[in-house]
Amino acid sequence: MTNCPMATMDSMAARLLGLAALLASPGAWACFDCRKLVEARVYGPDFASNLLALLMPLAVLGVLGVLVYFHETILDRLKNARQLDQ
Amino acid sequence: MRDSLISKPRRGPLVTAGLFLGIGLGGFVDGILFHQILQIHNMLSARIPVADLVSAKINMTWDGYFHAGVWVMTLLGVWLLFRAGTQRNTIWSGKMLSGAMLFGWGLFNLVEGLIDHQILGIHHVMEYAINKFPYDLAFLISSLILMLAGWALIRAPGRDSPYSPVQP
Repeated sequence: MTNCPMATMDSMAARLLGLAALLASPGAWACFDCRKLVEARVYGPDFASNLLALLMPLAVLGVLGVLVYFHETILDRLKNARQLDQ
Repeated sequence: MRDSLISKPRRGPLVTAGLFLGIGLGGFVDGILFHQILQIHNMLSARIPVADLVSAKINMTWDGYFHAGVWVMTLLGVWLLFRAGTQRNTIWSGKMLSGAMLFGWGLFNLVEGLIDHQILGIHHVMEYAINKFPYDLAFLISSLILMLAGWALIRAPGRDSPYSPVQP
């Protein structure tokens, strides 16, 4: 069993270098290459129209939800208004 | 009239809370199961087909905006549920809440399916298929089944507490 500090350091450095080499794979570089392209195409001239299209179902659902929330109040008021008319 | 509105037992607050929770959580099921796990049904996949890493990341960004929207819906549902719990005349029923959540989930799928798939055509359930319609139709049918099941639960008589847990 060797206790030479230089040998231990060399072994550790080799392991760390191995890990660093894994991080620097082409897969990780690809994100740096494509990031600008992605941002340019997402936040381009079509951004507002895409966002509107995407949020339209949620807006419709929100309006339906508001109608359900107030439907009892609205029905009661209509009923009372009819009774007052008669 | 105002007094009668305040004291009359009301289903609306709990049903609306369940509806918004169902819409929000149904949206998350859509996003997690279809967009992320199965890698289909991405938000703009008909306009920007997922063909390479850039187009996949663009769709991923729009999926993020979609998730932000359904997160707001879920938050609204939690707030409405809290409000329903503080109103003394709210009918308090677990069956009704779960029914409303199922109904909301189905309603979300129906509205999303009609607007995004059929009217705007920004994406389809299975963009990779040659004939996309059967998948879109199955999505709409499943939404109707969810809504029917939810409606049946909302209308079913329960043994739950008739009013909210807040006592006068």
